[in-house]
Amino acid sequence: MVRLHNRTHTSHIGSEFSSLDIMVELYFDVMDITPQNFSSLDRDYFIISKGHAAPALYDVLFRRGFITKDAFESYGKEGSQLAEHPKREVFGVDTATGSLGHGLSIAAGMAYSLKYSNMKGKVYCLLSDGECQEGSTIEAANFAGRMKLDNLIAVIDNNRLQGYERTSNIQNIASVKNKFEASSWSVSEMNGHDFQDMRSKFLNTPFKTGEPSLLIANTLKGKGVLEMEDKLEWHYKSPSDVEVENFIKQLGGST
Amino acid sequence: MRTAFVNELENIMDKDENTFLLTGDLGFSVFERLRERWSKQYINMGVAEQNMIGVAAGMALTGKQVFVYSIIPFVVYRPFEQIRNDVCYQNLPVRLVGVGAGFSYSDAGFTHHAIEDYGILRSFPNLTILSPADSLEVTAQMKQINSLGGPSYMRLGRNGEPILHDKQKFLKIGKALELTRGDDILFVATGSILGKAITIGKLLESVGYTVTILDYHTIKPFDDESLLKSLDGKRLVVTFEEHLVTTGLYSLVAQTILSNDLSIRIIPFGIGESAIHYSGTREYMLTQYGVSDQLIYEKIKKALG
Ligand SMILES: [Mg+2]
Repeated sequence: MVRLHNRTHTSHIGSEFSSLDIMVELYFDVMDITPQNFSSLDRDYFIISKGHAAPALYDVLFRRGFITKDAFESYGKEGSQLAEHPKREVFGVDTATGSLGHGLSIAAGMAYSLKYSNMKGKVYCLLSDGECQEGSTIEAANFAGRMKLDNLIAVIDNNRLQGYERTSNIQNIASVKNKFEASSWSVSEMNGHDFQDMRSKFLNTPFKTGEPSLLIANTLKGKGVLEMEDKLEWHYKSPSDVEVENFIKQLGGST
Repeated sequence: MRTAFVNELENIMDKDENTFLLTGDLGFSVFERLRERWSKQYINMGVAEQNMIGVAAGMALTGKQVFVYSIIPFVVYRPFEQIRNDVCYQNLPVRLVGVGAGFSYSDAGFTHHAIEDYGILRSFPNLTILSPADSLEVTAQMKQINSLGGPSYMRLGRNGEPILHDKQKFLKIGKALELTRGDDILFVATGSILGKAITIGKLLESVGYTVTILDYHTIKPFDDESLLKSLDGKRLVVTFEEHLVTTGLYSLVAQTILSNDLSIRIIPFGIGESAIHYSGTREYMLTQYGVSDQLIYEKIKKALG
């Protein structure tokens, strides 16, 4: 991903690194989604409501066998289906996103539909902390609580930064937590970079029968690279030629 | 129109357990029977239209046909981006149904007037736009609607619009319906204002002109072919709509004519953009924009010389 962003000069690497571990945990350990069952309706679903972290999803889809290495590396090239925000033409993507505040409604619609059809699949929805400022996210939270969608699990990537501000300067995460709880969700926290912690939390969902679950994942924007960690500018910057080797080394990769 | 819609929806739900109705807290005295009988397929989504469209998209992504019902401004304008991204971009079988076409809610004021809806929506991909003229057309369209793979928008009046057809004619979504055939003038109309086109057509025939009337119950895809065929030998084209002419039927007709290198005079009857601050009866509102039987007749007569 470092190389990808270096080559394409695209934004959002910081947001990808804060949520990558969550997606790895879900796709490799928790969810029932595989290239083999993807065309069936009776499975789990993943909605990346923070669509700007799509390259992290593409990386996971590649390593999980949904898309080829060539497809993954076509990211950002002209004519590629892999845009900065995802769409369903990419095998493994459940819905297009890109505008914040859409994903939780879609996820709730899916969860209601699966329950109605007596399917046991769960719907996982990854939100950014910033997008909880969208009124539509709160509309969706109301609906999911009211309909008792305990097959819906929302994860907030609480990296405490948004596009142009510290998130807490706009809306405190406690206010988000209160709103979900007041809408009949059960809420828990986890370390979004600790696979054991995430695993135990996910396997415990639903936290309460008849209630949707919210996991506030405490994360670091730009996790794994000292120069990027918790820095707002990495919402937009991409690694330079000089930085690439250093960043990859910090991430434990080989250059 | 509303009653025809609900009756047909009940017929669909009778046969298909995967058809749903979401309403934005509207439908008093309309949905009671349906709510009673299909309590899991009917959901009052409350006053939260953005979520309503997103939920519909999510249900459609998991194999459901979803009707979404509200007053036009609330089902079209409020959740505009959800319609664009979640529904149209992804080509999902979500059926938007809006009541209150044009000045159906004239007394309610500007917030409730629906005079830009199909103009805005025609710019979205994959969307079929239906603008029926009476309850018979609603019934005919509803019988075909689930065969559309992608999304649709149906623009309804309220209730009690006059029936304009003798019987349920064969109406095919996407194909304009020819009501009369004449040599001199072409009338192109959409929605219940088609009634005015029929009335004026009769008046003109009584003074010696013959008129072709095309009923565009489908706005998108726009049936270019029927329009071009009917233009042959005409002196004048007149468009009728309860919508802004700048983005509406008039602009579609003008665009089709121009892009085919044709030249013919077109008179639009519809809503101009200036005076948005009136409220009153529907007839009063339309008259403010020059859309009354008398004003239309006089203007056409003058154009014919
Ligand atoms: Mg953030």
